Amino acid sequence: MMFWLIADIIKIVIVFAGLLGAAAYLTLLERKIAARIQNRMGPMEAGFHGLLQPIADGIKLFFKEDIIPEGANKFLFLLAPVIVVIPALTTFAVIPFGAPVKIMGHIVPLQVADVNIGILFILALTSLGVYGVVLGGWASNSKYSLLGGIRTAAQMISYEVALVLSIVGIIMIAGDLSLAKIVSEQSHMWFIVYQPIGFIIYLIASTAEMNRVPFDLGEAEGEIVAGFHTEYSSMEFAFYFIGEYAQMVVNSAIIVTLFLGGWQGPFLPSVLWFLIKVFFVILIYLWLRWTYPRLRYDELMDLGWKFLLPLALANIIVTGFIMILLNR
Amino acid sequence: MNTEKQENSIIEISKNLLVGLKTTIKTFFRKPVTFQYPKERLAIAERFRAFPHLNVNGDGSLRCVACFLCQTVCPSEAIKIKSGYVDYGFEHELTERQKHNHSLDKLKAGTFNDGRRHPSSFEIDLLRCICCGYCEEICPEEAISMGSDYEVAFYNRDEAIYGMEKLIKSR
Repeated sequence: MMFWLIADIIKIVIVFAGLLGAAAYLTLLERKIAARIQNRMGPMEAGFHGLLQPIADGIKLFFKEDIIPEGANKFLFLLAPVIVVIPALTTFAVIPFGAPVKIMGHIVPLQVADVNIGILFILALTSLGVYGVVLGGWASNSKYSLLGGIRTAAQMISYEVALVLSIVGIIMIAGDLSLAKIVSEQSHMWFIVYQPIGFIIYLIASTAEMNRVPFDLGEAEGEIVAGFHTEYSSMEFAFYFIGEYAQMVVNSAIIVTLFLGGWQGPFLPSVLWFLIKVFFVILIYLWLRWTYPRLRYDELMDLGWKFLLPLALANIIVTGFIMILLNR
Repeated sequence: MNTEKQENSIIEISKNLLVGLKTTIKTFFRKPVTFQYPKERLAIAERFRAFPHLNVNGDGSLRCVACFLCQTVCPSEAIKIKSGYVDYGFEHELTERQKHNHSLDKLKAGTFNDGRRHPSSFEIDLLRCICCGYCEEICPEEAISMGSDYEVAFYNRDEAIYGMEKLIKSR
């Protein structure tokens, strides 16, 4: 009993610290990659090649003045950034990040909680993040924030559908909702081979879910200043950022778990395989972001409802047919 | 111009999207064009001209003869000259040109001069100067020429008015 308690606490601390650290250093990675894609160098001053930049940014944001706009709903205004961060961090609880290890005669799964409806847990929590955005947009008492919040809400609802439907194919093949089972099902072949279209739909829809370019309608600078976080400053602003980047790590981890065989791989230790795969999926996200310009709002809705949704439905039907034909 | 909306097939669109990805990945592996300015500097061009400075002879005497040509030609009226004689004193070693100048022989003993007019003050307001190089072009004595020091900064406007000493010293 005592052993499991300690093991769980250690796992939670590792995951929590790892996620926050990753979120912080993703800002640096993003800036570096953006710089290289634009033939620049990115941060070079703080530490070797800007390695201390995230820490410097954190310290700076921490000591900035907290500004709460006049007429803002103070409680919701302060609550909203937290609502963005918490689901992003919690989602990682069900993701297996390594093969089970044997410690002192016990087999410890490298997963904070093996929930048997893991996928539903992830879907429920990732869509909670939108509340933070919408609440923050409304509570700021600013038209730009409100517009950003409303846009994000509409966008999230549109893309949530395609996102969920793109995973259904995986669930059909794996025959289980538990993520640990899904990973072990992929021991001989990654699911991306069976579900390439599902993978692409999930990649696009999750980019939209995270409010990232090219789907960053909610914070479109140049149209509505900074969207839902226009009025935010100091640590609340930092929380939005941590939330965004933690979401990115989590989404990459979900993609790795569902499509790229989770922690499975030859030669190297399983945790390392997991980290390498997550890193590469994050690189894909960054690559997409710095390649494509922002969509117009009607284009965004067209893509979500008229293209991704029918495609996801067709993907499910085709998957079902093939499974029946192969008699699985 | 054809303003009709282009009908794009999905294949066409995805091809264009992939072209975009290819472009960015290509630039990703290219060397950055950035110069880390204070640490590394671009070599300035041979014909680069920044602010003017005054030239002196080998012995340190001024070349300027206060002809006022540069002040006249200066389009932004940055140059202000006051003419006068410069007393070099007896210790001064005469240059070849000064040795052949006898116009000063009648001058009162105790003063020494090379017989040419010289500026008693020569000021260039660097905030007015537009670095056009007209003064260098028009100068008959090659006394003024354009420097290469582009990193000039001042705390107030008075500092920007360079006197003779500063103009000689500046690059």
